[in-house]
Amino acid sequence: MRERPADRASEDGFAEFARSRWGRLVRLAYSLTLDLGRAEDLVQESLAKLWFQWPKVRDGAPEAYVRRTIVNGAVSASRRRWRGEEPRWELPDQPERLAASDAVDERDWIRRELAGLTVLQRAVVVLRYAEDMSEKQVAEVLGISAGSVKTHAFRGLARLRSTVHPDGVSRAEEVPR
Amino acid sequence: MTEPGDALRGVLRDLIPDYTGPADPLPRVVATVRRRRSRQRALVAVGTAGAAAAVALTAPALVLPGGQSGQQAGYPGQPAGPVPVPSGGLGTTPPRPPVYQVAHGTLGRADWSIGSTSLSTGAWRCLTSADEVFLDETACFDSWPAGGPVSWVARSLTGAGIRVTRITGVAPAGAAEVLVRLADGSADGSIVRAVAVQTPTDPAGRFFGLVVRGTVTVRSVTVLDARGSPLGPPVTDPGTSCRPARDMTCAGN
Repeated sequence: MRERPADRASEDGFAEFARSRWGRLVRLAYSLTLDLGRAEDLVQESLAKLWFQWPKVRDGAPEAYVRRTIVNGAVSASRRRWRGEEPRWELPDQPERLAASDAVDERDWIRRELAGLTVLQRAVVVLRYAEDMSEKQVAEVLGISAGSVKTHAFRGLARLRSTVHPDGVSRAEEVPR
Repeated sequence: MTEPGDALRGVLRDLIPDYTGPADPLPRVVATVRRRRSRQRALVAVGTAGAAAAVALTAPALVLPGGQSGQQAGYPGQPAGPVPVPSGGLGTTPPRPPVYQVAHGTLGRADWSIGSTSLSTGAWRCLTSADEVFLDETACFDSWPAGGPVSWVARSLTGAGIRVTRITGVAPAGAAEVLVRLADGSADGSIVRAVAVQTPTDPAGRFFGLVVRGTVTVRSVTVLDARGSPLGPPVTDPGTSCRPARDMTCAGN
């Protein structure tokens, strides 16, 4: 008799897997959605999908499976015409132009610039440079050609690069807006 | 294209450095799994809605008294009442098919419950968990020939953080009780008892279920009638059962 994922939650390491990967997966989901609530929901749904596939993938690459599910979920959600809510990274009372200073968190600027990218550009940049995937791997995950990966990566990176100095200091004043 | 600097990579890898997340994310995942399974069941139930409605109409609105761990509720030969859908995770989803209580008890501080149900035309003689302990643990005995020897299955599980063995099965009409002999290292083993219950799920069978602590091996299951006389010899091998929506051997999946 085949075992069920409900049993595996406690018996075969699924619970441990979910608990240990949660934070890391939420960070990935957040970089794609830029909304913490949606990121957690996405991880929750993706882990639930993994649960049903656990017998098949537990001895393989379960993290790769769930990461792929998260990426596809984020891309699919962004393509839906209506999303119920459309959380975006927007700072309240955002000034027109902030002066560059150490007080400005570069993450804020990165988030803002990421929000300006298309979801595919964002996904490519995150997978390519945060997840260290090869172009081929990114192409496989997103179901696009390697050429498209290059294009999205180039455009996305160009925009982000203008935000961050190599030493990590924000240079908001140079960001075209 | 040149590679981005380490600074950009570092920021991209952790845009939410202060994120801590829930203390235990697993309940969220489990709740989603339950919702998904409920949706699957609801889809399956569409095809058998008429039959399920007929069964529900014939079921008495009676919830039988409970027992302790390893003890069964109800009385031999009497139909059991429907078990309320457990709270949490299912509130916004379509109702599950009727579940008729067969046995229940406690495990630690948690209540467990086993009920009979019909999930589809290919998985209609099933025993399922109706609790928050075992999460849809289901075994269907559709291949059991009515009137045949008792068919049972034992599974080692963890419920409420406690390792247990969960034994479920179906016995022929006339069965009032089953004796489950467990291997405990002694020559004869130990015996636990479970009441055999008739439910609307299958009037031709008598369902039973029990939960015992620890991972134990079942040596045999013996069926007794209302007078305590054996109905056939002890059955030492587990019967054929399947898990709906998981086993391709479950017809109708």
